[in-house]
Amino acid sequence: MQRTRNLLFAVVALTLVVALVAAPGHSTKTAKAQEPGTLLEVAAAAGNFTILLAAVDAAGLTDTLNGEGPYTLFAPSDEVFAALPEATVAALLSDTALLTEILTYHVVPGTVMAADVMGMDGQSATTVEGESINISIKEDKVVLDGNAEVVTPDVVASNGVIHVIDGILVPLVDVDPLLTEGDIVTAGSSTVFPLSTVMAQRFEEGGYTGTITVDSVGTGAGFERFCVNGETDISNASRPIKQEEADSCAALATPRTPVEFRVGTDALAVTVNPALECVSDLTIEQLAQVYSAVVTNWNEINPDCGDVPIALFSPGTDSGTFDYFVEAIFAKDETPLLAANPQLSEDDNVLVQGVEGNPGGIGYFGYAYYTANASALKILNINGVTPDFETAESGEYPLSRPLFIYSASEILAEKAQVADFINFYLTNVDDEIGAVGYFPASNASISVAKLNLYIALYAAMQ
Amino acid sequence: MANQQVVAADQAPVAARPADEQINLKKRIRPFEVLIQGFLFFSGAVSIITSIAIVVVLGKEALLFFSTPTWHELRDQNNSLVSLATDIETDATTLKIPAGTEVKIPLNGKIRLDNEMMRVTAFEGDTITVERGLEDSPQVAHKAGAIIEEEGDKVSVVEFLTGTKWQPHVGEFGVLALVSATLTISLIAMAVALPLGVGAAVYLSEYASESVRNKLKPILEVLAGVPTVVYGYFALTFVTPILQGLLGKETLGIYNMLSAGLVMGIMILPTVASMSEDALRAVPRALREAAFGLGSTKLETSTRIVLPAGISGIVAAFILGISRAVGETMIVAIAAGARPYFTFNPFEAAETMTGHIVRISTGDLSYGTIDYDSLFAIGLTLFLMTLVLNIVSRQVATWLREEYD
Repeated sequence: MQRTRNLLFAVVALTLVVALVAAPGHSTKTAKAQEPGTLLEVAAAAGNFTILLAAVDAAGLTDTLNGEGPYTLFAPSDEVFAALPEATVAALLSDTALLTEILTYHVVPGTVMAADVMGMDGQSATTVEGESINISIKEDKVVLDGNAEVVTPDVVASNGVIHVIDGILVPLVDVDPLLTEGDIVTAGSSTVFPLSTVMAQRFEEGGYTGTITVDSVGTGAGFERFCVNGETDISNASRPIKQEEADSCAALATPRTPVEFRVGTDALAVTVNPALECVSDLTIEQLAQVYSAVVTNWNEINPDCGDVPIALFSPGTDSGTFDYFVEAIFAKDETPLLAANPQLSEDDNVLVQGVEGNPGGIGYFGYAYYTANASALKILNINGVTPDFETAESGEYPLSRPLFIYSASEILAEKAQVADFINFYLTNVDDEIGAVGYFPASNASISVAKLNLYIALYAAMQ
Repeated sequence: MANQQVVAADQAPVAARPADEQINLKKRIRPFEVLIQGFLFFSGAVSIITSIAIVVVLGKEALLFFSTPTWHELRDQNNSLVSLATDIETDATTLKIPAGTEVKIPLNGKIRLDNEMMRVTAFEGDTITVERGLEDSPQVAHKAGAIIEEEGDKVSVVEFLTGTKWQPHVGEFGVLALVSATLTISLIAMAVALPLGVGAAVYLSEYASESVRNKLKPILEVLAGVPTVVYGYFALTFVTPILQGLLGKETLGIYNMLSAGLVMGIMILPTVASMSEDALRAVPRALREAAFGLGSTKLETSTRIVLPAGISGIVAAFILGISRAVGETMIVAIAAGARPYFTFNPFEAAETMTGHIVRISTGDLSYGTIDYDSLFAIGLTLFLMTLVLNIVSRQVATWLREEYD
């Protein structure tokens, strides 16, 4: 649908360009009839760029953008800015120089129409800020810096053109793993583990010569190493950091200020033994009954099942997956689940084997473990919703959750290799995440992550 | 020869001394000898000192376990969790809980929010007045929604030894849930290892020719060298599916004690066989010859004469086998399941003491929590179990020993 629309835009834009070139006289007449204002006037008239305009004003760039130009402005809409956490917005607005750098990175000198860009796959465009934006074409859509997609191209103004994008562009320098040295220590969630491993491998294939370790110990244990022992540089997490964990970080001998980077979305897959044909859908309530042993036989869920006792499998209490499940199904109260005495293991393969080997087995884990074992397991719909890319991203599937990596501004300032790796991670994660079995984070979330990284690095340089 | 030389060398200086000077009879100090003796003593002492140190550490931590109070979440009349109704500042001394919550909070009792401990000084309606930051816990601000925990009782030794539920997160510490699985699996293992082991021993010692014995025994002992993790996966991916095929998947889950026990029996088989065979071989040849001379068959000689004569060695092998089975970790961690469950039914999945220690300690376990201390209590119980088995085995061996020469 969107693809068709973009194609349509491109065609329209192309026609316009052709018309401009072919019949200059005629086109002047058309332009006069529409009388577009300056870039900022056009944006103001559109109505959904209020935050961008306020930021432009705060950075003192109003006059520039109303000036002669011509400029090409990549404009994130208000919905993109709405995804920014308060702290990030505050950090941005408190520093005019920083704000200016970010904003001027959205401006390219000259009028660059979408049709011109279509042929520039793999090339880059230098911005007013000085750094260049990488351009790639994916499925006929223009993608900037890997994570911002042009959703509405070619909004013409008197002094240039506006392209509406669905992320914020961040002037991070491209990382060359060849030039990165020093070791990186990471640990945390077993759910993020496969993804981080792939990213680490890719970083190493790029020529990184240091050692990067990725330990799968569970989100809680990861934060303990990060905040209590202070021994890791990056903590993988399948839930946001808790207040007391952040407190521990601040209480370290060399305090750490955790910085969050969203890297993807996971859907919790609830799976049963494939032999259990009578069950294909559970409601959240039924899931709670099953996992609190209120219901102990599948024939209580569906009489067609016959006498099949339920065998419960659950990730161990230290995993973020367990925390998330308890939060989503039992309102943070783990007692009923643990009182049902399920088989607990931090090793998801143990759970997969358990569900596969017990006719009444039910288990839940990250979607990646389901995709890796799809032939041996049967996935259930929850509340009638099948987990897939669309339902996880939209949040329609009730058991979807964000995946994060955490570092601290102090570490980013001190260890260039950590900042490089995270930069590399954020830029390339979308290429790998599908193969690992998770769903990509929205462009807005990735750009928030990049912005967090940029702000932390910017603060370190001051 | 050597002795004579030494004597000759000693005599020479004595002869040179004046007659009135007394002969020095003190032992000469030989530094090298002292060094060697010291090293040999050290070698022996290392294992003893290590054992003592382990017992001390286990005992100290286990003591902590029995002296640390448990914490559990505060629950209201509907058995729901009670949480903070409003944010509180770092120095505030009153807490609000949601209006209409009926909950029992003992005066002067301790409650905990996040990691901060507080003492309740007054409780009225939905307001709790507290003394903050007890026992050097971090006094920080707390957000609404934080779950309130209250201090519970300590775990008593009786509760620990007689309870049949092991669910640390719910405050249930009954070690029998773990002991039952350890015993069940060990008994299955011995049921496999004892008849097969003694049978192999009798064959090797009484029936096999010398050349066959010399080939077979090393091969049998190779079994003892197979890493236990290999046995674990052998149980999970080979033995369990076969058992499931025989008994039906409905009866036997993928993780069960039966499979782990059978494979563990195979694992300790060489130990039992080899030790029993040594015991049987030690039976004097004269006894056998006398039996044959009286017209006994080979079977009669083996079962009526040689086995009774070697029984003390066989019992020692049996007890050592049980000790190994009780302490075995990898097979049960892989194949026996991952939940503490009080049952002696071998078709069920249940976790042994060693399996539980391994699973819990590979996850996130903070030092000083009751879960952490509980591991040492389990470890100590395990240690005492094997210690008792060893003492019993020595006693039985002495008691049954028959002297012939």
